Amino acid sequence: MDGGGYNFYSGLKTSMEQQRMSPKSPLPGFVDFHGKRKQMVKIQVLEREIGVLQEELKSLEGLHPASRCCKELDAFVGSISDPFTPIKESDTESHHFRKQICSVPWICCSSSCLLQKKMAKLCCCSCCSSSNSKCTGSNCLKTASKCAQNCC
Amino acid sequence: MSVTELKECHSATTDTVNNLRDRLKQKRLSLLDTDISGYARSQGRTPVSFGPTDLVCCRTLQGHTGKVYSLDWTSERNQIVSASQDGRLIVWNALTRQKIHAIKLPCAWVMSCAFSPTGQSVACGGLDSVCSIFNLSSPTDKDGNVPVTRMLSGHKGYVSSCQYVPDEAAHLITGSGDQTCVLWDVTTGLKTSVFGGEFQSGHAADVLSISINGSNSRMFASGSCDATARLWDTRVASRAVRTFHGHEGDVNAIKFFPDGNRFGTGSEDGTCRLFDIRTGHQLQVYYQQHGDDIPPVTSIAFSISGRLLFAGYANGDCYVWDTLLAKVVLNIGSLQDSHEGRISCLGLSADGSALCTGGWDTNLKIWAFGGHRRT
Repeated sequence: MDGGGYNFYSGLKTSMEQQRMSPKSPLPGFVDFHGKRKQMVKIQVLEREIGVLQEELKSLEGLHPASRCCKELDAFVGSISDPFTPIKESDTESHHFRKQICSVPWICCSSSCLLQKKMAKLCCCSCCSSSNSKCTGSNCLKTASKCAQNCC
Repeated sequence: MSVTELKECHSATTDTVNNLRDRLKQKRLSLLDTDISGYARSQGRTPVSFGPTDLVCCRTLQGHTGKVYSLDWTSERNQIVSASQDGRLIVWNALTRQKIHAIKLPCAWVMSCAFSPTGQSVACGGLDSVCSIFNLSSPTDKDGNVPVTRMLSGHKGYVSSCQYVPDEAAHLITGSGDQTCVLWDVTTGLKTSVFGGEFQSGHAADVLSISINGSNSRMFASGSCDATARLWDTRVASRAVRTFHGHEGDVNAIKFFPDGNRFGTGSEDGTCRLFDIRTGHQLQVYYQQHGDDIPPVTSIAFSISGRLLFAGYANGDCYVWDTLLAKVVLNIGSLQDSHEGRISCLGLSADGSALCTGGWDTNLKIWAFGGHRRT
């Protein structure tokens, strides 16, 4: 009798546990509805994209070709002075070169600077005039403004 | 309609979209009568050439103990803020190499940083999905750290990029892994506008980069993992002004051209491209073989005239492109004193006289031109 009662309750417990662990599937209609909404949203997004693409296609009618944009860009680039754009060396450039070096705060006369030899020839500031002198970066930075005033 | 019918409708609509895209592509190709290099050659433009000592590394900024991921210059004062995997922002005096501030971040996984237009604040964002603002004038806390002034919370994904709106220290734009860009009011910490996202037309994948137009700060461009760049008007958040196709991979970097009518992009596909914002034309592709591999472009910047395009690549190269003739004129990555490994970020000083590069070797380097130049 005990075994029978035990078996009944254990069976009920097992069944309830099973229900908790693996609930029944929702009604078929519910799953279908959820899937519909997702598909409808996707279609709406695509329809919006169609509208945008059609507008863009229309805007291309009568649009000028790329060569006009290239011409504008080329004209702009040529009109702006650029610190990074090199020019060819010539005798007449030395004055401009001196002016250039003394006005740019980044290039200093430190011993590690690759321009030291050029500076020794062209710059008149005391820290750079001697090719034997080794001026530190910080010293040179302090005198950079003086260099700009005195040399240029 | 049943789900099956809806799926059929979806398939048909997709076909319509693809068909329109093809027609658009063909129409655009027909308008590309030349590219920039073709035009410049026809005008007899002289190529830019650099001598071996023309571009020099004149400063190395050492102090980070992790990879540098992002940097930004001030608009004045020659200061730089850098963000690193070591969990710190460092504000540098670029001329003297001094560290002015070293800010310990609440989240070490930082991806982007930016200076405010006044130079009074810095912003950063990363994997915490938050953009944090630090006022550099604030008194430090008991540990000597600059405290967070404001946290811009709301993104549902990482913050990949951030930039203050020029001349508006109160507004900032972020790009995010949640596929949106957001315009923030820094004073209140609230979103002013959301560009893209679930209910609006926008990027279909993570936003990796943004750039605000220096000539018209109402316009900004974003680059995404969906391989497109998009142009936005901050007054119209509902949809992009234009979408730019062409790249075949993530658009990692984006920067407006100095004239404000074009922007450049750098991509995982190894190319840089130049697009015109008014017509949508792709004006130029910048690509050169790097050996056997095709390293992604990590970062780009234009020189002040736009004649040069600086592009950092994942393999440590940093090409200087002649934008008009589409030729590489120098590889900074191969110069003496260059970085070891990847150059992850770069930026030009406000006056255009110096380029700063940041790398995975934990250093930042300042490059300047030391040869003859046009006056």
